[in-house]
Parts: sequence; C-alpha cells; structure tokens
Amino acid sequence: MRKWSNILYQTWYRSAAIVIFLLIWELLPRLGLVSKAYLSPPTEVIVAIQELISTGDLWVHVASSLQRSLSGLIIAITSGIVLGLILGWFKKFEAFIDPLLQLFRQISAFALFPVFILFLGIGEVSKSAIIFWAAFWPILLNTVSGVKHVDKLLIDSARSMGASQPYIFRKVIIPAAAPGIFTGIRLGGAYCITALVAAEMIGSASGLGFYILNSQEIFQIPHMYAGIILLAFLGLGLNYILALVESRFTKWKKGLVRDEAA
Amino acid sequence: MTVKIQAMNVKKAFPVQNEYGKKDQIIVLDDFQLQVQEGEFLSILGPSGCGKSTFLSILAGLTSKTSGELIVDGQPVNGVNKKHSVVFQGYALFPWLTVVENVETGLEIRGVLKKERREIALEYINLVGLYTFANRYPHELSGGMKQRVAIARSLAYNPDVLLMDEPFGALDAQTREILQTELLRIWESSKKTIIFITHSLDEAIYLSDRVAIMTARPGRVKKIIDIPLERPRQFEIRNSEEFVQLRQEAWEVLKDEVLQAQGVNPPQEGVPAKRVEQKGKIANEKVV
Repeated sequence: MRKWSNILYQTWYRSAAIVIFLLIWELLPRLGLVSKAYLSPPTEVIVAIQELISTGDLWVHVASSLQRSLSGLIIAITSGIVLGLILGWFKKFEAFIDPLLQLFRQISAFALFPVFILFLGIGEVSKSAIIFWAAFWPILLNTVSGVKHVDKLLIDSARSMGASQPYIFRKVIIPAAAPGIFTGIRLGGAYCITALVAAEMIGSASGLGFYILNSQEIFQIPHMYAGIILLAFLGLGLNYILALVESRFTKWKKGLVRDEAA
Repeated sequence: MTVKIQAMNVKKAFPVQNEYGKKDQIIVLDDFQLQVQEGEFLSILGPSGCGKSTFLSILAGLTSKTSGELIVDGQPVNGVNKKHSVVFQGYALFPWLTVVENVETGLEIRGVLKKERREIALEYINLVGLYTFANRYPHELSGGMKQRVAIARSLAYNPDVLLMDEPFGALDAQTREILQTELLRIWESSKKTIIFITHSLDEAIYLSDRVAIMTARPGRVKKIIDIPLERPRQFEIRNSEEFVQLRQEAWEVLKDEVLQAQGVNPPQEGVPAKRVEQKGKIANEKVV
C-alpha cells in the first residue's frame, strides 16, 4: 500500500509544475486578466490541434519541418563528427585552424541567412543550410574536444600492447570520445529546432514555423499556440530519440552516470 | 643466466620553460645503468620524481630516451616491444569494454581469432580469481579487482617481460598485500622477467630477487641490493630478522635521496644550509 501511495506522490510531484502552469494559463484568459485575443486558453489550443489533425494539415506541416530539420541535422552530424575526429587527431592542424573555427562559431546562423538566400535561393536548400550551420558547430567542437581529451593513459595502454595507430583510433579514441560527441549531437539537435523556426518564418509556405507566424497574421490565435506547443513536442521527441541513440552507443556508462534518457 | 635487459648511460631530458619564460630542461635520468637477468624479479625503488617511471616508459617504448643505450634480447629498443607488457598504477582499463573484452585487447591486436581469444582471456581472468566478473564493466569493480584485470590483460598475450609501474600504489594496504602474494604466485609459475617500480621498501624486498635503489633527480641507480630470501615467500617473512636487516640496509641507501627529493639537504659543515630548489612537482607522496 505504502508503495502505491509513494508512486502516486512521485507522479504528482513530477507533473505538478506542468499542471499548475496549465491551470494558470487556462484561468488568465478565462477570468479576463489577459485578453483572449493575445492568449488562448489551453482547452482552445487543444481544439485547434484536433482540428489540425482532422484536416490533415498537421502532417503536412510536421512532415516538411521534419524533412528540413533532419536533412540539415544529419549532414551536420556526419560532417561534424568526421571533421571533428580528424581535427582532434591532428592536433597541430587543429591549433592552426581553431581561431577560424571560433570565429565561425560566433557567426549566427540567422545573420547568415541572407547570404544563404543569395547563394542558394529561397527554396529548401537555404533552409537546410541555416539548420546545418546552427547544428554543425556544437557537434564539431564537442567532437574535437572529446578526441583531444582522451585519457593519455588509455592511449599509452593500447600502445604498450602493440596497437597500431588505426587500431588506437578505432578502438580507443572513438569510444573514449563518444560521450563528448553525443553531447555535441544533443546540442546540435536543440539548435537545429531553433534554426528551423527562423528558417520557416522567412519565405516559406509550410512547416510549423510558417504555421505559427501565419496563424498570428490571420488572427487564428489558438492555432498559433497550437503550433508553438507542437514545435515543443517536436523538439522533445528529437531530443528523446537522440538520447536513446546515445544510451545505445554508450551502454557501458549505465550505472556510472544517471541515464538522462530515462 | 642470460642478460635480458641492459641499460647503459641512459639519459632523459625534458625541455621546459623556467619561471622567467626561458628555455630550460629537466634532466630526469642521467648515467642510468642497469642489467636485468632473464626470469628475474627486479624492483626499482626511488623517491618520488626520481625518474623510475620514466625509465619504465622508455623501456616500454612509450617514451624516447635522449641518449645512451638500451638493449633488450640483444636488440636496441626501438618503439614498443610486442613481447613486453605494462601494468599501470591507474589500471588503464577501457571503461567501455567488459572485463573479458579488456583482457582480450592484446590478443585482438595480435590477430587472435574471437573464439580463441575469449578462451585465453577467460583462462587468465580465472587465474586472477575474477571468473564470475568476466562480463562486468570496470566501473563496477573495486580498485583491487581492476588491477587484477589489468594484470590478467598484461599476461594474456604471453609477454616475456612484465613492466609494472607502481601497480599497487593506489590500493589500500590489505588489498595490496593480497595482490603482492598473488603476483608472486603467478610469477613463480610463469617465470617471466618482471621489472617492478615502487616506492615501498617492504614491497620491493618482499617481491624481488634484487632491488635497484635510485638517486633523487637526475635519477641513476645508486645501489643494487640482493635479496637472498628463500622462495616461495610467505607473507610472514616480513617479520623475519633477515627481512628487517635488508630493509634497514635499503633504507640507509634511500634515506638521503628521499630527503633531497623533498628539497631538504643534510646540514653540511662550513656551508650555510640552504634549500635545494625544486622545479616541477614537489614530492608529496609518503615514502614508506
């Protein structure tokens, strides 16, 4: 019995903040404290989401958002990891190129958007490019630092057993750097969603970012909030998938660090 | 007896920047001479920072020497020798591999097939008494168990020479004593050449055929003491009169070096006593 009440309490404790937030959100417009023209109560937002689902519009917007973000993110992940491994391995070259990378990293993806449009047009490619730019830097830099900070003792240990350089790279450097690489990927995932919205708010006819801005422009306020909520869920889902992949690859860490995916 | 390892005038200097930002060097080893017989258990004892680990690292092929000659099996040392294996103080196990996978590493590097290397690895894990832990990860083991795994890993590819760099330095006293006895048991049945770095007098005398005592930095071998204690040795031998005498003899040789390594000079006549300048790490480990 005691156990059940404990579980119940835990569930309440873990969800209380959200429940209270939703209550306040519902009450503010209902009591007229905030105009409904600015803030739709969550019940209306849920109705709007249901509408989106039934008309099939939801899938159109989610699909095009996913396509853009995933294409940018996947390119950022592959190129970021490959380049990061190379840069981390060749330390001299890394020291040479690092100031340039630090400079690039500081250039906001949004600031570069006009440049991308100039070069790539206003279509899908420039949208993927801005997402790529936002996600690439954390992945690259975390991979580089992951590789650079591999415990020298582990490398020495492999060397002392007669391991070749390729063996050390594959079997020591990569697994040892994996946690750092995954930190980069998780950050990249978060930046990718941020960049996605910005990209879709400029010159786009589909996607959740477009939908949010468009709903506001045509005074469909519940739909605007619906878009925001859906976008949050998209981000959560992406983060969850990335965390799942991470825990799959760094299984050995179970028990060592609290599993963040759970 | 055949000579397995011979070091002649080995010198190691590290380039550093001194406190004025000028180029300088630290001479870690100078005029280092040592001869190790095949099948011998030799300990190198010295104060912290005397370069004993550096010598081991050079012998393992992990660090290059500045000058001098180092010959193993009649061949000058050139990079890592595949017949050597190293046991580090920090265990150096791969945290993402299970115990058995860790032990397999050296065999994998030598191209031994999966099934065979698993069999060999399990055999050595059994030898160090960790059979039931074969599928655990290193972080699930205690320090003593980790070092057992590291020992199994170093033995699994059947090296001629075992280089042990303060392997028990991080363990508590009881675990340390148990592992010392086990190491002797393993050595007596395999008759490998072991070079064992330590800064514990008792450990060196208990384990070794000979103990080489080093000077403070720049390190060289100051004296080699034969340990004619009967084998196989039991732990109780530490209480014997012979052991205590050897310990006293070794301490007499080591004492001045320890003081010097800690930056203290014995007062000399006619000279105002002054502190010896210490660069880099000050010896803060307790020398037993």
